[in-house]
Amino acid sequence: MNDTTTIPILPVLSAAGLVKSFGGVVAVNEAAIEVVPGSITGLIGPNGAGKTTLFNLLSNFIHPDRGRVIFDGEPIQNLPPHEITQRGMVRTFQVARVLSRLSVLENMLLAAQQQTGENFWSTWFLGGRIAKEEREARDRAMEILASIGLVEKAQDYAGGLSGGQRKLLEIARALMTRPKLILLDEPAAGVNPTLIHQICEYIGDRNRQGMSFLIIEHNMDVIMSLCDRVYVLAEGSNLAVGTPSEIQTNPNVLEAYLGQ
Amino acid sequence: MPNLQVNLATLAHRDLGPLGMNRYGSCPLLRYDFNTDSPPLPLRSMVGYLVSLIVLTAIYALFSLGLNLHWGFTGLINFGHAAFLAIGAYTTVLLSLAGVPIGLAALAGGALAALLGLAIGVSTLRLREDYLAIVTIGVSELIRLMALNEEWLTKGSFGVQGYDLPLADFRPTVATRIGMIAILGAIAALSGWRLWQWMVRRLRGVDRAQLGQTALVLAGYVASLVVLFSGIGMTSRALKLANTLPGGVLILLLLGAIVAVGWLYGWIARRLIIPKLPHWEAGAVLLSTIALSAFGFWIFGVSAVALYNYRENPSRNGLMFLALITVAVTFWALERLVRSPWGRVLKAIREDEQVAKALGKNVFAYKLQSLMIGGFIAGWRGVSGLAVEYGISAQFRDANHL
Ligand SMILES: Nc1ncnc2c1ncn2[C@@H]1O[C@H](COP(=O)(O)OP(=O)(O)OP(=O)(O)O)[C@@H](O)[C@H]1O
Ligand SMILES: [Mg+2]
Repeated sequence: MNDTTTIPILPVLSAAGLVKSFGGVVAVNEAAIEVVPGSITGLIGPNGAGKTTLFNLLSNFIHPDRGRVIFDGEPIQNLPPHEITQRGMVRTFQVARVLSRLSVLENMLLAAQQQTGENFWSTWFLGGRIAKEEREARDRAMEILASIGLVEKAQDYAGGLSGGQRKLLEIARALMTRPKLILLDEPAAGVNPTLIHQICEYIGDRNRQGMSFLIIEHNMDVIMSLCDRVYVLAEGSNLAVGTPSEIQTNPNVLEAYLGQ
Repeated sequence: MPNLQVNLATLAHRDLGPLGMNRYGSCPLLRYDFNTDSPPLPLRSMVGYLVSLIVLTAIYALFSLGLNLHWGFTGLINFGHAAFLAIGAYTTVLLSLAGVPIGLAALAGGALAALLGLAIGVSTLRLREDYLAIVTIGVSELIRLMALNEEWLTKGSFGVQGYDLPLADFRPTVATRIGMIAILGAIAALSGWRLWQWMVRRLRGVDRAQLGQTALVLAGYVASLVVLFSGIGMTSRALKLANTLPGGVLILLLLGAIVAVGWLYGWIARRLIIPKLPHWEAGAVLLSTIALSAFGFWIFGVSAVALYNYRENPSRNGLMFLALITVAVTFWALERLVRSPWGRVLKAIREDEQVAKALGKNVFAYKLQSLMIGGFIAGWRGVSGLAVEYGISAQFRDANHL
């Protein structure tokens, strides 16, 4: 593993000076974050620290009041969210959002990128190519679903999934976009311990294949076992950054978590 | 120019019941001698009436197909679909009056309606979704008032009249007519086949004997409901004619009877049918398949007779032919679209547009496309100026209050 205190290579994602206030509440205040390619970076902090808001700013679901976000060497803070996904950075939602009246498999197929069949005119003239792409996407989707334990549910309506299963589908769907970087907002919340273990292994696997992760999580075991580097956010600002063990022993962090 | 004047009101006076039966309970259609050039008068008006009905049904079918793309597939709340219809219809008719060939004029009508969709979309889709609803109501009301009050172009409340209908001067030979009938036959057969497939899929694994029983019970349920409601209708008409009760009381009675019957049948369905008949859904599938195929067969029969006697009323029969084909083609095209990956994105937007965005779909562009295509379908009258023909102002008003 690289020395984490100095970053020798260009970060895949780097944001600096991000500010967002809602009325009087400053949810994110001069926050900065960097994700090294091929790393799993953690983002922790007490409830209401601004973690989810920071994700919204990075993915431009909410436009920041100030600050810069650079992904893959290019500024993205002015790109619409869908273009950011197309460039290879996908985010999940803290409260899982599934497309209820679509099947689980259709939820997955939707996530495939650059599908010829999604162009209105192509649907009329490129039937063969579309069918081929659909077959490929279907195979890949079933593979991901199998690895995450949802394969029996593939044909069911996503609206019928349990809370934990929705969470899994959310992650599977994000993977389906073939991203360079995934922002996971509390992937383990509401998922049973065996499955959490399975998800962690899965994330580790993907990471070894070169995918980068930025993970918000309250479950410390997950953070400790997965992350190379952890950012701590408190009241919208960076409180600390370091390896998991450094963070665990940082008195400021303990103070922020325990209150006062 | 032959101008189609179908007065539904006068035709309705001819005591034609369902399935085109006359008052003596026989169906003249079945006794029709196909070799005579001039069929008996009651039959002529009956087929004419039915043909007009088919055309009217086709117009509304197209209208709903476009609307369904907006509401049903994309979740766009559009209260002013009639505006698309009006723009398309007036454009088509006025252009064809100016001498543009009817096919081109219809295309232009569709294109203009699509442009209206673009304009509405660009101005509202970036805002909260309520704005689309508000603006569509406004635009449609605006267009209606303009068309009704403007004398020079749209001839105000008179409506535009005296334009060419498509195929009005068309005098097909026997072979051509049979060809046209064959085309409709092919469409009917294809729809029948699809219906059959749907039924087979839905009935898979259901026990035959149980299915038959269920279907019979459901048929009795529906039939008794129909009988009850027509009884209520006839009684209230008799009461009204007898003129003994004040109008208010009569209306209250009527409402009371409808609510009572509705409540009773709702209760029967909830308490007896659904819990006692495990396969009631399959029974309903079987029943509706039978009803739909009978209806389809009947439409095909009427239109085949009308097409065979094309000369009876060329413009009307031609209109029917074009209308049926337009509906079939539009339906096919839409089915294909909504089943494609493109349609999947629309459904995703309907379900949760944040997810669609997060998965890299340009939600705004897809909504615009949906608005434009739905508008195009409503505006593309395929057949000339249908809406105007049937009194655009009245229809438009009804549609507006949908
Ligand atoms: N849309 C909004 N409007 C107003 N205030 C908001 C909005 N979104 C977030 N906030 C506020 O910003 C602060 C940070 O919220 P955020 O959801 O980012 O916290 P979090 O760190 O994700 O917390 P948790 O761990 O509980 O998920 C909170 O005080 C919240 O009330
Ligand atoms: Mg959060």
